[in-house]
Amino acid sequence: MLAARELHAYAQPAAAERPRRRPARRPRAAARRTSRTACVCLVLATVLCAFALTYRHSALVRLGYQADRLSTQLALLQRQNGEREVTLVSLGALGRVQRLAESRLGMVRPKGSVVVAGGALPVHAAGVIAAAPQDGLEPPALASLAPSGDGGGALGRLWRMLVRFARNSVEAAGRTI
Amino acid sequence: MQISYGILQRRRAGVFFALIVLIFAALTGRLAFLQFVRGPELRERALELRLRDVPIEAKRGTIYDRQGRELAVSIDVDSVYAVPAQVRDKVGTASQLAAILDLDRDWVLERLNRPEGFVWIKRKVTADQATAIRSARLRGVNMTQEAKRVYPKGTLACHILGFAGIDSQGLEGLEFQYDAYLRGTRGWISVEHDARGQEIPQAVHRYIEPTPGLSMVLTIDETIQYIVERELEQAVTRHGALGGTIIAMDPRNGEVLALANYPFYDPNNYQAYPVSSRRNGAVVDTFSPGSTFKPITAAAALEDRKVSWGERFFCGGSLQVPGRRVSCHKTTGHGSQTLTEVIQNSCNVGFMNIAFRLGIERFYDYVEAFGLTAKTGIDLPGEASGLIVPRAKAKPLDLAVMSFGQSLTVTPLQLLTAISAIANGGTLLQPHVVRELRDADGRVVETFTSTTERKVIATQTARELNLSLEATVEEGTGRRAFLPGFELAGKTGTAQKVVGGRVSSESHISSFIGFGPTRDPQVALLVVLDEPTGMYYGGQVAAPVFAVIMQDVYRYLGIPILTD
Repeated sequence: MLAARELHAYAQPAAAERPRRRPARRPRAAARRTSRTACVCLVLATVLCAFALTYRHSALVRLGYQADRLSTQLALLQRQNGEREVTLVSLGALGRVQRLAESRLGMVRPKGSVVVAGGALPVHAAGVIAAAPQDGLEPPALASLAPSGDGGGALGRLWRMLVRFARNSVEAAGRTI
Repeated sequence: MQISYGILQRRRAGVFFALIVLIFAALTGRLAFLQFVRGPELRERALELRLRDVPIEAKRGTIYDRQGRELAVSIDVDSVYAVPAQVRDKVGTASQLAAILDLDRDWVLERLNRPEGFVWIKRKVTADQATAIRSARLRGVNMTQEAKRVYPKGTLACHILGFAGIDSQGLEGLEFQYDAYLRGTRGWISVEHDARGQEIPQAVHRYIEPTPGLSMVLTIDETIQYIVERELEQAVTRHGALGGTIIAMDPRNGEVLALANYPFYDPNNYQAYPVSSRRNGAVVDTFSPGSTFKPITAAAALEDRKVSWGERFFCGGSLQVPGRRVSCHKTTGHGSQTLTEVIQNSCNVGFMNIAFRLGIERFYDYVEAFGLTAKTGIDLPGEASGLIVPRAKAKPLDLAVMSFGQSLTVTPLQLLTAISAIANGGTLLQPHVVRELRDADGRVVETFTSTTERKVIATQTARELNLSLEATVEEGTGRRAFLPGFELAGKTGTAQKVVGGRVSSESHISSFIGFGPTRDPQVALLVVLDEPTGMYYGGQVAAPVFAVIMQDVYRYLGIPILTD
């Protein structure tokens, strides 16, 4: 009996502790789970960070190569621009201009000269030489060579000026030669 | 005493630990030494393994004419090089390079097999070739930027400009003379490359910027130069001459407006022309001036008052001088002439008499004063000086023939400089072709002005002589150079060439020298044609060329023409 009592008495506090132990076990597991989750999150975050950094770096490298290619293209275009500028200068060579003037526009070099004096010209140009009638640059010939169309633009203005100048020359020829 | 096993173990462990500590200490010490003591040096060496230095040529300065028109420019072009160690498929690479760059495949392969770190494949390639090379993406083959010299006007002013070589170094003409100014300073770019030999972006780049050369503004006028070259070529072709020279100068300040020698060459492709065509004969070659020298004799005698305008000189067709009878070009004689007529008729006998009055010493004094025995000092390379019988050895016969321009030689430039002195009122000026130097921003760094050498003759003497030379064009031997209203003064010249040490009666040099307008000379011009066939007198061959050029130059410069 006593033993049974003792046992009961022994069992009594154990039974009393049981409900206390259970809540103690639960937080440890939860903490373990929490720490596991935290670890996973940390690893994930690290991996993500690593990915982000790698992506950023690779993007930078990609952009760097792209910038390099673009700078190469820029250099190439600048070079082409330089070549075009040289071509432009060479197109203005006087020998070429004369060849074109003679072959395409039918212009001829003046053989003689006429000194034009008149109000239409600046004072210092009283001795300016213009094409003489005998040079084959008479107004009708000039007119027939005039650019087609309405004659607008710089070429047209230049042409009208040339025709006017040649007419003045012819008129002035008789009195100033 | 016996040591227990435990103690032995501990001692061994202690020794082992101490050994380990020592090793680590040594390693740490070595590491510290490498890191802190030799660190910078080793870092540098490691970088050098990855870095490749690529030189960047400085752009040569542009050469402009006096109106600011480009005569020589530099453009950026690509040059192809290879790093042989990085080329894996050498045969394939060589084949591709040869096809793109129009080279011999074996030659390229030989270069790719060289045990060198860097070999040029082709320098200064065209834009199309550069694009093709880039597209081919050949391993170990790269390109660098270089500056290429281009002469956009082709042969124009070739003997003045000269040309630059493959390394942008001046080799001839102004390119050579002013190389130190035009060349600039070469730069470097060090680029970090990866294992494939590709540039690493964002990596270490060391860039030492090249300094572009100074630009140069010449006294040369492109239009006048063109006129001169056009007429020179036509004259040489028309008369079947071996070559020719024309120089135009502003006698007021010694600025050379144009200088041309025929045959021309294209400085863009100078290797394709014979070396002889690259000679700037106007400056480096001498010739017998013949009668174009006579104004010098006349000026000397007038200045020394040994002759006067009212005096008369008789020409019987020849003159006996000690040692020989010297003939006039008109063997029947010119008869009695005034000094103006002596000049107009270009009478040799008359000039011999004038020279005898002057005497050897004074004649030499004036020849030297007119700068005919020394270099003019023009800023062009290789200038020569004329040859003359040494003063101490000169005899009356030498004086007689020198008075009309034989037995002495001058460069065309020397002669024109001397005549310019007569044209401008008696002042000898140093000729020059460079007006100013400018930096990359267009600021003037240095200006070259005319240098007065000396006053040779009085202004009055020069004016009187100018009028006499004008009469020579109007009524004398230079009639074919006459243009009404242009006020041109000048003198013809026909000299026999010395061939094989003997004066040849077959080979001549025809020349004409003159200037205009007489009362205010703005342009002095010398035309020299070497061995024209058929007609050979200067008045027939060179004078018309002078007239045509002057006509165009007057028109271009807007020089007024007298209407009376």
